Amino acid sequence: MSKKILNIFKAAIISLIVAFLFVIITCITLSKIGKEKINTAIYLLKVITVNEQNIKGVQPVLEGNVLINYPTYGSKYATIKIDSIGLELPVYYGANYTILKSGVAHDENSFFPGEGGSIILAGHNFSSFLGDLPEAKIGDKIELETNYGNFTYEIYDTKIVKETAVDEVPIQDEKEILMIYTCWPINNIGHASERYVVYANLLEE
Amino acid sequence: MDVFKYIVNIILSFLIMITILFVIAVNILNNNILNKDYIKEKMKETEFNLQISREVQSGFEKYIYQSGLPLETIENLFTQEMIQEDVDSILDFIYEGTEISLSSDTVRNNLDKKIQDYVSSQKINLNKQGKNNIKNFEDLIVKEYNNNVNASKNTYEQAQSTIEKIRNINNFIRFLPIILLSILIIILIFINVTDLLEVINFLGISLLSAGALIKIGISLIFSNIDIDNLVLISTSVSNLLINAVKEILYNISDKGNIFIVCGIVAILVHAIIKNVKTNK
Repeated sequence: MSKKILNIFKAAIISLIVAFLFVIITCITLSKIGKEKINTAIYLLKVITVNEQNIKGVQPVLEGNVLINYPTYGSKYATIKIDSIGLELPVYYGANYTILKSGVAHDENSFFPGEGGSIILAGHNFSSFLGDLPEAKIGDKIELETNYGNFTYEIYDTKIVKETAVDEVPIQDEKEILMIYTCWPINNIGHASERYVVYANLLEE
Repeated sequence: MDVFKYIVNIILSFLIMITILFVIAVNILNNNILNKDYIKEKMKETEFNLQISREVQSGFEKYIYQSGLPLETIENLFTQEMIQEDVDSILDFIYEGTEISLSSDTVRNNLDKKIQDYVSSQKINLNKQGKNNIKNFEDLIVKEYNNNVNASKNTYEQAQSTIEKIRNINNFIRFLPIILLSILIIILIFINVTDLLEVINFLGISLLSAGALIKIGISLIFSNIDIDNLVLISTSVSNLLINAVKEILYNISDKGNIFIVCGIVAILVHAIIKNVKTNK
């Protein structure tokens, strides 16, 4: 009986070895011929793959002019106050349409308060958002209370610019300038093709 | 069995294995990639149209908050039926090369009516600039609708051209793997006409190795590519792609399992019967 089983096993194992060799030969041939193409395909597919990771926000710290641990994109990191017009709104890091629904958006391409460059903030022109911004006058104070320090700015200029005039809100790292803009005109119906911009210098940190 | 016959059987068995893999590839091409109805079914499963509606509506919201118009202005500008017709039109373009026709005019008319109603109800006197701003707003909303429904014109054009090329090639090779497989099996039977048990054995080897290769390939794909997080054009298109790719891969994997089981059974049947015959 055991001899019979041994013979069956022997006959089967030869066929299994042949099948195994087929697999090995095909794998080696494919890896030799199409290795580059396979790697390119895998690379391209990895490029269009997004790994969603839970990034937990770490408390930002300002060391000199350098901000350590930037706020997480989309998180509230500051409050903006303009007492002269009774404005107080949350400021979120990042500027997209979802953030703009919640408060004032901080353009992620601009600097943070305390870093010594252009800080660009934007908000909708409703009365509950930045609708009263044009009432602020030159000399009025703007306070930014961030989760790493408080900053006070003074308005030195206001302008109405075209929506495409990006030169009017330049990114620079020589001087800390706060630029806040909203759509103009305030009581516009339809597409607002202009922006009302407030420029302010850093007074104290 | 003499050595020459054994080598010929092994070569035939190897060719059968390769042909089986081609049969599966052509099968996927015809039943999935080139099959418009399959794509439509997947769209239904992934709620493609609903997702497109959400993307369009979310796109409208970009413009409403700065427009001075109430939020209701951008509500009900389109219906699910309109989205369905537009998506069908894009599918027809990809699979049949017909012109894309979108419901942009209906969206514009609905929007214009709502704006005019609002302007009248609020007794707003529009100057030239105001009328121009409304026209620009309508243009942006219609553009947003077109961009979201027809998410990527270039990609769809490329898809259309690729599908046309594949279809042309497919017309030539569609039945080739099956014919080749049949010929190879007939030759295998012909060579082993005196000992048909060997046919079962070598077919078993082909099936087992084809199944093993499929399983290795699928494992490599799953270990190298994070299919669940593929992103292409928009959420709706990505969901459709992920769903279709996963289903195709699972189907191929199931075929691999069946081939492995059939292959092992065939090899064992050959070994057992051969042993019984030898003992007699």
